Amino acid sequence: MERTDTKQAVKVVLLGNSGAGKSSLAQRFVFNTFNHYSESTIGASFFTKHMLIQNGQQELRISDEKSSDQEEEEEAQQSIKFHGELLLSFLCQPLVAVLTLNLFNFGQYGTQQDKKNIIRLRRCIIGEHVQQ
Amino acid sequence: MYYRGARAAVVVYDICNGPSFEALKSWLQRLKEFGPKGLIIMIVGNKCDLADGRQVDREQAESFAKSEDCLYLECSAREDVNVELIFQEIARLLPSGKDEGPINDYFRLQGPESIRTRFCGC
Repeated sequence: MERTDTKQAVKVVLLGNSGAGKSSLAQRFVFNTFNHYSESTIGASFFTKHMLIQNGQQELRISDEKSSDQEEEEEAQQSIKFHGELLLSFLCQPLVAVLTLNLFNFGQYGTQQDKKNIIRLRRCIIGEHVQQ
Repeated sequence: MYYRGARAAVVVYDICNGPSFEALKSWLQRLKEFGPKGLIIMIVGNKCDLADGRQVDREQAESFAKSEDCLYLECSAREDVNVELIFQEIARLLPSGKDEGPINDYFRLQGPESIRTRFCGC
């Protein structure tokens, strides 16, 4: 049977002046945490998070469950290193944080997991700090 | 550069920092100049928990967003106000997932075939 999976990679950029709270917003959204003493972003991070979506993409809901997918965790670790190396070349760029959401919207003929309409989202948040 | 392939942009300012609001104009200018067409733009006033230090009126920001044809929300990352709503609103406005959307390079490495196999439990 032909699968009807649809996949959607959504790239969202966060822009704004230094100190406006781009990284804090991303951190709150992805980890639901807040760092009172966060410093200007000079590093880059890669976050993986699972989200549940109900009835297609119209209703978006974050699952509290943490990812237990070891493979994805390892990929995330590798990405941190990768972006860490890339960082140096970004230091002269304007203040931008890039948030990449990968949305997987599974069709109705999938596995049990698919039927629950589990959407996997990966977020890559890149921030960089320069003197204004 | 950063904007390439973006479907949405969240332009953040600090409601307690007037200059960060003034800077929105140049951020929007850049987006219009370099950003992709059909970009969903949301202006977000962060730190709404710090009402005492407010320098930018909500009404002022709201009408500015309207004039620029942008969505608008105030939020607080610290107090977790409206943060999720930002992305929900964006997700809501994205075209149906059935459309052939851009595929992230990360997954393109595997190719669509392997993705199909990976999740097929038949």
